[in-house]
Amino acid sequence: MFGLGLKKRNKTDLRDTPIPEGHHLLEVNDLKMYFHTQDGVVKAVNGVSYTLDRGETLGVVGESGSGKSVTSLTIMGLIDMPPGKVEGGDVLYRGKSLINMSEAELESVRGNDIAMIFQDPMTSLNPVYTIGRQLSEGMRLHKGLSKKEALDRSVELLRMVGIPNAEQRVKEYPHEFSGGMRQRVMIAMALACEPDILIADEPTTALDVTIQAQIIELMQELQHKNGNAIIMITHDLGVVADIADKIMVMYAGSPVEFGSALEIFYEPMHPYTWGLNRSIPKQVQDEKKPLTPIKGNPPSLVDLPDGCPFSPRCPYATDLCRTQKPPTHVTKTGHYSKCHYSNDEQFVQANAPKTNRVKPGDIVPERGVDA
Amino acid sequence: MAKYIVRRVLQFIPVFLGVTIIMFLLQNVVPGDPIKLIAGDKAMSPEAELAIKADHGLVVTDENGKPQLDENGEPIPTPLIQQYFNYLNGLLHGDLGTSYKRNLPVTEILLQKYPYTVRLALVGIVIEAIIGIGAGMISAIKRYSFWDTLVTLSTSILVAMPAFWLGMLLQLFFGVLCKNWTNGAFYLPISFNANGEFQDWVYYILPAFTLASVSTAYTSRIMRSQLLEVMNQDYIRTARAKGLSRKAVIWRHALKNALIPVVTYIGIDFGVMLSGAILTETVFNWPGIGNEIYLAIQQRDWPIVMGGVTIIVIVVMVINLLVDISYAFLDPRIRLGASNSKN
Ligand SMILES: Nc1ncnc2c1ncn2[C@@H]1O[C@H](COP(=O)(O)OP(=O)(O)OP(=O)(O)O)[C@@H](O)[C@H]1O
Ligand code: SF4
Ligand SMILES: [Mg+2]
Repeated sequence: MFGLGLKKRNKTDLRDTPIPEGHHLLEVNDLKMYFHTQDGVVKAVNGVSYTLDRGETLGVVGESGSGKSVTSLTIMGLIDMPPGKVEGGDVLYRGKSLINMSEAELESVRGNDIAMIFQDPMTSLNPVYTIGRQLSEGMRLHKGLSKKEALDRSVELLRMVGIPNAEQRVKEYPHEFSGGMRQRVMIAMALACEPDILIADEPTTALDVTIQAQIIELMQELQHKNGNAIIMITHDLGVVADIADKIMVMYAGSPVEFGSALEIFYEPMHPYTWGLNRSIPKQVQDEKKPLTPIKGNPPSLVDLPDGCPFSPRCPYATDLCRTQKPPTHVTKTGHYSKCHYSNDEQFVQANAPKTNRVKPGDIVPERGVDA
Repeated sequence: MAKYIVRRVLQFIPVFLGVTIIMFLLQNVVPGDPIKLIAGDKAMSPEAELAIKADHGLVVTDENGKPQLDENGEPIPTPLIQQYFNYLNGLLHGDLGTSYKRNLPVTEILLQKYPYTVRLALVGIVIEAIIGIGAGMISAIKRYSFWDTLVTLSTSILVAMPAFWLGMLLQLFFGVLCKNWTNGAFYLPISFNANGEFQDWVYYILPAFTLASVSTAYTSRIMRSQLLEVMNQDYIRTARAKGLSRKAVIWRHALKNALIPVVTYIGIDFGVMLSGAILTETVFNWPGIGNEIYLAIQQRDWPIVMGGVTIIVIVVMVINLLVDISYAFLDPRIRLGASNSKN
């Protein structure tokens, strides 16, 4: 009875199917996930779009409550419906819709083709089973490994994520691990089946700085080896600064700006992104107030402002902003921004923060060195 | 773990002494002279009364068992503290004294009655575990469905219903109204075979159900709320994210966590049932220890009351210890925490 559901599904893994012509590894198109609650409809994800290819890293940045976690949980099909409901849009993995997939098909994708590291390592492991058993489960399910094989591989995985004395530690329970160790276990668990896409939801928030760096390095190393894509979720633009290829900035359930990491750092177009840039320590040097927090709080997702969702907090907001939804301004490279004034180059030039970050490849920094 | 068990067993001693001392004092303040009650309406000669008192150690005797008299020629009552030590001494030798009324060793009487209580408790606990856990699971998994409502409604009714009333209703329904249909099978009088054993387990169903009714309802409520709570935990989402099906997640990950408090509740309740439910046993005229103690109290047959309470205290303490151990077995945090405290 307790062996229930651990038989290997004898279907081919979706990751072994080629990506159809004209498609990306992962495509999120205008995805909308609303929660129908007693207090009204919570528009937690409201029109998220991006694409991701193999070997790429996407950084998703935004304040608490901006819908970062719900977006990735929707992709994984892990939102309870009800109260959740996909109100529109689609998610294509290798050209196949994850939204319209049957539950059984999704189960063979989860943990296998797409794996996720969760935000809170302290509560994300089952307290009554050993680490080894919890690590083994996915591999037995997706790879059809025997108990013994899966346990051996669990030891290997623990060693890989830098847990000493792994043979002994697979037999231990979560409460015998520290927070950092548990997060490593979560990473090992997510990597167990060598996923095509690894979603890491604030994988280092609970950890101290030195361990943060180690864990991010580890994920990059493995990406290098396996060629998988990574979606790195964080509320700290600084964390994704060095590792992301693309960055999506989210605000109140929608992306406000999306572009390559270079574009987001050197040519940001949206006032909210500017605010985030200014709140990274040591990022800005040529301005009088080096650290400027964004004032105010994000709007209620039940009752969004009529015009631009950022207008109540935006220092540049006009009447137009408060009444009309801003259009999406897209550049040739696919860099986009949802602001009425993003197409006004002078406005952007005058107000965007100047950064002294050294662009990769630049020998001499372009600006801001002397400040 | 071993050290933990030893510590728990040592904790038994003050509890045991406390309970028995209270019982001992109580029998001396309850009105009614037990020895007079033995004779019933008939008058008893003072000599006969004194002989009985001497037999039961209520007066001081010499080596030959003859009552000693003081200078006024009156018998000397045994001091209470001496009586209590005599009781403890007897207990260590497996002797719980002799019944006032029936002149039989208390151990013999109780050993004859106790199996009925134990068997009733066993059937009761099986009913409680199966129906309670099952109903709780169904109503949690099919939350807000017809079945959930049905379970919620019936548990509310069961909790609100006094056991003796439920017992009478069941007797009335199955024994009287459905007499022809059930052929009297569920109803008393209990039939004994030649060995004095019940002929049929069928007779256990109604009393066991009555005995377990309230706690079955509680079990199902605890199970429901625990399972719902566990299903909201982060580690359940982790399990789903691994690709386990909803069913596998419930069986493999949620159930064990949800069962921990339920097992504790059922275990403690088993101890309560083994103490002989006086109401249920009285309503069903069940020849168990509860009924026996109830009758003994009415008759002021203190040795039986003391003996019964002694057995109950020991059984409850042992069961509670077993519950604690099984709890630790289910929950590694407690198991390992307890063994870590060794060093
Ligand atoms: N089951 C639910 N029912 C109603 N609202 C929900 C539910 N789950 C999430 N939300 C809401 O959706 C919004 C987005 O939440 P989400 O967890 O995605 O934020 P986040 O960007 O990950 O924030 P954080 O940085 O704090 O993790 C929040 O306002 C949250 O309250
Ligand atoms: S649209 Fe207006 S309010 Fe919104 S970000 Fe742009 S300037 Fe600010
Ligand atoms: Mg989150």
